[in-house]
Amino acid sequence: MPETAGRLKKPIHMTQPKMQQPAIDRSDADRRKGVRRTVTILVVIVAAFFLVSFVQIVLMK
Amino acid sequence: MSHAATHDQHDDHHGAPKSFFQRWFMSTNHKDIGTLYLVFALVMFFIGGSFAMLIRAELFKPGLQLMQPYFFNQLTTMHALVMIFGAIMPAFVGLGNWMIPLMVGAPDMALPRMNNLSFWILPFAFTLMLSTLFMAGGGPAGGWTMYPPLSLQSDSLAYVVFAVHLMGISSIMGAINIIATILNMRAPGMELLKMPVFVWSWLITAFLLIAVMPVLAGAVTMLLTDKYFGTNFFNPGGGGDPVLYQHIFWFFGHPEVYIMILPAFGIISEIIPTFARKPIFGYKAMVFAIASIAFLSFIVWAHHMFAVGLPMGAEIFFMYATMLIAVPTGVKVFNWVSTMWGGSMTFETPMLFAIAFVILFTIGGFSGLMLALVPADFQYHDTYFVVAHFHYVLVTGALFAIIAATYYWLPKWSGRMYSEFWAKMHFWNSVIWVNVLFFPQHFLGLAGMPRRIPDYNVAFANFNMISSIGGFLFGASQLIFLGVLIHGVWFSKKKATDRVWEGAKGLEWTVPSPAPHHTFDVPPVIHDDELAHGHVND
Repeated sequence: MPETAGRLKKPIHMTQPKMQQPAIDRSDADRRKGVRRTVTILVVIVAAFFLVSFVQIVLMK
Repeated sequence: MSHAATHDQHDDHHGAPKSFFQRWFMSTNHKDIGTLYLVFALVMFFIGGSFAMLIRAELFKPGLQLMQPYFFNQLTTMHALVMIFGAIMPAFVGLGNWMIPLMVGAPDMALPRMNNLSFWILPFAFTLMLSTLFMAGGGPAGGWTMYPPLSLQSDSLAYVVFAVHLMGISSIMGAINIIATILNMRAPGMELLKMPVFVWSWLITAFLLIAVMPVLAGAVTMLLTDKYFGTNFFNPGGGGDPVLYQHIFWFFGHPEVYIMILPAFGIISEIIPTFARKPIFGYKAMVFAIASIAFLSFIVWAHHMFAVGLPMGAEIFFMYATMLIAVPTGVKVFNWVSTMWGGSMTFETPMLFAIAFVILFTIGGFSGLMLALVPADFQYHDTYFVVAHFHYVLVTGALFAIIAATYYWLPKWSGRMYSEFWAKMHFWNSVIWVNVLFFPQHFLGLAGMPRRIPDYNVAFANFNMISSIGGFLFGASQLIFLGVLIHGVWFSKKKATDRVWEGAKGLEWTVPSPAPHHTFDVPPVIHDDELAHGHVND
């Protein structure tokens, strides 16, 4: 239901501790480096899988 | 969290491009690309649905009514290919594109230009594939599994193989993008075990995609070389083995089943806490259950092949491994029910579809367990019981989750509330007629009616007629969905609030409705009580 409609039958109270925001964020450069590293690893995995398929096809021929 | 944290005021100077072409064809924005995926999936859903209507029309009565058997085979094949690769998968990718950056506090996907390419490959792939229906030899008719030697008889094999390659490339690029985004673009404080379950489900699904799509590419390439380049991988006459294809295909095919259901688990895990007004029960157990299901999906493929004559040891192994999947799946169903237990539940349309999902997907899961039993499968294999089983999993499972997600997030996308009355009409019509459509198919299968046939024994006439009536009315119900969507996107006068739903938690609800073209240019501040699953370390 929309937030404004208010058909709540039984209120639920959840008190939870606030999370501490880390003081130091990853910089944009770190992020870019991370993306590059992730993509490199994943592309290598995919390329290896394709290569294995290809080798398998050639060997079985 | 205040709007200031989202920095949406920055949108004044870099909103959406004005030109239609630039915005929709050259977009690198995750929301626009998400919309493109969703619209594409909707179009494919209606195309695949129209094939289903023709199939049910042919099966309305025994005897050949409307078409020749070869065209019927093309329809069943195309219905499956379009629904799996054109509707369900792109719909989940669209939802992921729209919601993952919003849920983890990222400004966009990690690789926006590749995102554009991933989408724009798809219309070309499906144009290629669907165009075969208008060619002299007709479309593919060997079933979506493309088993040789049957599939090798089709003149359109090269087109289909090329289309499958394109879809595979699109899926792999999409998966790499999603993994790179989730692992590198999260806002500070959004630790892995604080991410929404939907994001977790997509992270795991993306790894499945990367692992199995190259296998499918290998399998269909071997089909191609068998047909056109004189190889004999699968031709017994030349020393090949058709069962080898089945092993390779299902090594892809079974994880593919989970690629189509894990994001659905994530969606349901977002919706139920919102409308039960409680954090999800057993957040970590939910995440580990998804990971366990993904792992098990790699070691159960031969349960699709019990009837080919596997060694007894292999049949026993694959039977028990398959039954093991019921454990993490049971954990998930238990946790969804436990989340609802004692909650202040309200029953808006997303919640109705989510509850229907839990009940009806579980029916599909139970019939899956029956099929996992080797001796029982010898009877059920290739009958309508299998058709009933996987339609409960994929229609009342994956599709219902996609519809639930659409109703849940549509106000955030469009800034307008859809018509709750018509959405509920859509729900009740869908949930009634989908059961009229698929439940009798269990009985047909148990009585021995084979799948993929245009004609059948008169003994099966009554249940087929009931099933077809259910099919037509379920199909017609989806026109209500289309109407609700059009009204909710363009014409509804009722504006959505930022949070939209009273019990909604998570970063996506902290941005305005409709979500600005750019969000989280500056990472948001995250509070634990803003997370959908509460404080996970409790």
